[in-house]
Amino acid sequence: MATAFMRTVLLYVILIVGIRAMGKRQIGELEPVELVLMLLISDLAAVPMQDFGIPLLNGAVPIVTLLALSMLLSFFSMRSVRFHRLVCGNPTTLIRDGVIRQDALRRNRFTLDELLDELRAQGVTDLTTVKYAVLETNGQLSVLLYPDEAPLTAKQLGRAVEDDVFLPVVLINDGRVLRRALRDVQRDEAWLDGVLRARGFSSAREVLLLTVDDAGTVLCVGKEDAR
Amino acid sequence: MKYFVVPAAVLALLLGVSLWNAAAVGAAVEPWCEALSEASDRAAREDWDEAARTVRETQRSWEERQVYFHIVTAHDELEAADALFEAAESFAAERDAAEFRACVAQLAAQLRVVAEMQRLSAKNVL
Repeated sequence: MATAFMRTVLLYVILIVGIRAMGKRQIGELEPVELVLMLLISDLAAVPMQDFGIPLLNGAVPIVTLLALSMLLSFFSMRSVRFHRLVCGNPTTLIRDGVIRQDALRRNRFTLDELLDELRAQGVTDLTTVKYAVLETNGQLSVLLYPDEAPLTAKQLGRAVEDDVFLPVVLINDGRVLRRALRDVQRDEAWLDGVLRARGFSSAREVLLLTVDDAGTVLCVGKEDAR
Repeated sequence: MKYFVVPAAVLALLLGVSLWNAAAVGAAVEPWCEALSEASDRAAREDWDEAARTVRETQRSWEERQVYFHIVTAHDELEAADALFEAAESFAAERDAAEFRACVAQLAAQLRVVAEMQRLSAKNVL
């Protein structure tokens, strides 16, 4: 047990340092800490599951150790920007004012082809239209176009736009009434019954989806076989 | 603060339990090894009844701890010790001093391996 505990701590640190050294390109969509956690936990869980000669504790102790270490790293990352940068790295600007920063590409082992791939994936074919392209710590590329290349916003046009974006809350999911959500939107079952009757339903069981937003707009979709 | 205290407490608990476990296994194994050494001496003096009784008692005491040992130790090592206990008993029944003493020495070494595997040491960790 003690050996498994200490080995887990050591391997966790070694893997985080290794992943950080590999550069952001290798990470994908996860932060280094999350990636290491995923890599290790999946394997640790599988070994005692398959080999009955290994005590379950030999899998459980490292998994709990990893989760606790990961929580501690998150805590210190929140408390200290310097620590967060040490563990997760810094975002790197790969393109500034339409110019590729070749040293930054080399430092992150990001090839020109990969950069062009990422830009094309975001609908950019002309490098000179990019004001900034930033390689984030999770390996994603954020692309910011020059203002004259970016889609116009209502604000840029000086037009007043009504704020009509409201988050719909699900009240009925596949015939089930979500009572907590109903309370959260300050409605009651009597209101819900009224809404259902007005749309020709006799009970919530006949409804696939019912949502309401802050403006009071109700979306109600019945089940195909209900009526 | 609980985001620090909870994981730190879990890590401290795991480390504490691990170290306690290493000490507990070591403390359990040492009297068995001493008893086996005594059995070996008795066999050398041709006191076969006492030698066989010591091995049987040690084996009974070992079997009483099997659930705990199976929870914390690789089962292969425990099964190897089980086989050596059986062999030692049969050599005692045959009164074969050379085989019995060799087997008992091997058994004590195997029990010490079980304890050693639990110990927190640079050798084990690295």
